Amino acid sequence: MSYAKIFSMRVNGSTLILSVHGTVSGLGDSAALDELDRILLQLKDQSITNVVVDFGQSPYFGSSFLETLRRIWNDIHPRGGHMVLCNVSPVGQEILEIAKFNQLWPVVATCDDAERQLQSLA
Amino acid sequence: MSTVLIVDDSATDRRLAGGLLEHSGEYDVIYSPDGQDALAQLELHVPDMVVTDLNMPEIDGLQLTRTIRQMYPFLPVILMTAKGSEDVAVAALQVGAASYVPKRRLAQELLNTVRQVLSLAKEDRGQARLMRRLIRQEVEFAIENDAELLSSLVRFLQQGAASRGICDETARIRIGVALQEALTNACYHGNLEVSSSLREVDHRAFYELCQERAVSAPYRDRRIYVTAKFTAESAEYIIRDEGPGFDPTRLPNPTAPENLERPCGRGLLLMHTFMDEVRYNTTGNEVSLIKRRTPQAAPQNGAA
Repeated sequence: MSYAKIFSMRVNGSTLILSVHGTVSGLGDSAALDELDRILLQLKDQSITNVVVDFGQSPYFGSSFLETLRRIWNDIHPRGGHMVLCNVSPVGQEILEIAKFNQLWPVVATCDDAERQLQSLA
Repeated sequence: MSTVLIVDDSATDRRLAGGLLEHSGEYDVIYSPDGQDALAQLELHVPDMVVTDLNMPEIDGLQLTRTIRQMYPFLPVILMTAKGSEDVAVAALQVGAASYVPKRRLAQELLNTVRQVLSLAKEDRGQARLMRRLIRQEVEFAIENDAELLSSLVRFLQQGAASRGICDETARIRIGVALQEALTNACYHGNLEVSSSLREVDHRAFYELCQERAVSAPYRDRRIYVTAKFTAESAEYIIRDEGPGFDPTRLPNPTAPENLERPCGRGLLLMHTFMDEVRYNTTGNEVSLIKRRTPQAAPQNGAA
C-alpha cells in the first residue's frame, strides 16, 4: 500500500481500491494533481478494470474532488470498468445525490459490499 | 461525574453497553428499556449523554434521536447499530445523532466514542452560552489566492456560525462545503480566470495554468475579500474577487443527463442547496451566502 496526502491505494485482483483521507480541500491542492496522475498511471495497467473509493476517513468533499473522481471514471469507463463508492458520510451522500453522481456510481455501505457490487456488475 | 442514559430493549445489550462505561469508573449509567421510557426519564433528569439502540419497538432510535434534538438540543446522542442497519444509521446522523457505534464493535469503540463526544459537547456548551449573548459581529479578510489559507478561512467561518448557535453539526458541514465552493470559484475562476472547460479537456493543463497565474501579474496581485456578519439569527458571508465576473445564469445545468460527466456548475448547485440564500451582484464577482439559524440550534430548556 502506498500513502499520500489524499489517497492511499492498493490493488486487489482487477480492482484498484482508493482510500480517501481527511476532508478534501480546494481545487488548487497540488497534491491532488500529483495523486491523480499517480492513480491514472496505475490505471494504465490494463488488468485493472474497476475502482472502489472508500470514504471511511473523509467526512465530506466538494465539487473539485468530484471532478477528480470523474476523471478517474473517464479512464476506466470506456474499457468497460466500474467504479463503486463506499463508507460515504451522510453529507457526502447528499453531495453525490445533489450532483446526481449517485446515478453514475453505485454507493454502498462497506468495502465488502463494494466488492460484491462489482461481482454482480461483472 | 457525567451521567449516560443507555436505551435498549435488549437487556443483555443494555447491560453490555452500560457495563463498558461503568467499568471505566468515569460515568454514572442509568438505563431505559425503550424510547418512551427514555423520554419520560429525560423529563425528570437530563443526563449528559444518551446512548441508544437503533431498532426498538414503538419509538425507534431514529425517532428518539429526532425528538431529543428538538427538545434537548445540547444533549448528544450516540446510536448503537446492528449489522445491516448502516443505512438507518446514516439517516440518524442526518437528524442529529453525534455518532454511532456498530454493536459488534461496542467493546472496542464505545468508551472512546463516548469520551470524544462528551468532551466536544462540554466545550461547545460553555462557548455556546457565551456566544448567544453576542448581538452582532462582523469580520473582514483580504486573502491571497492560497488554497491553504482559504481552507483555514473556511474552518474559521464555519466555527463562527456554529459557536453562535446558528447551526447544528450537519448545517455546519453544509456551510463549509458551500463556502469552500464559493472561495474556490473566487480564486480559480475569478481572480486567476481559469475556466472549468480547460479542466474538462486536460486536468494537468488546468492546474499548471492556475499555478502559473498565481505568480504572474495581474492575477497574483488580486485578492479575495470576505466579510462575515453574525447575528443571533443568521450568518451572512460576502465573498468578492477581483476578476471580471461571470453570469451565473449561463452555466449549464450540471444535473442534466448530458452534463453529468462535465465539470460545470456543480459548485454553484451545492452552494444553493446548502445555504438558505445565495445571490450574485450584477458583475458576477461577488456572492452573498446566507444561513439562517436552524431550529434545532435554538437555545431551550434553560441551557442558555
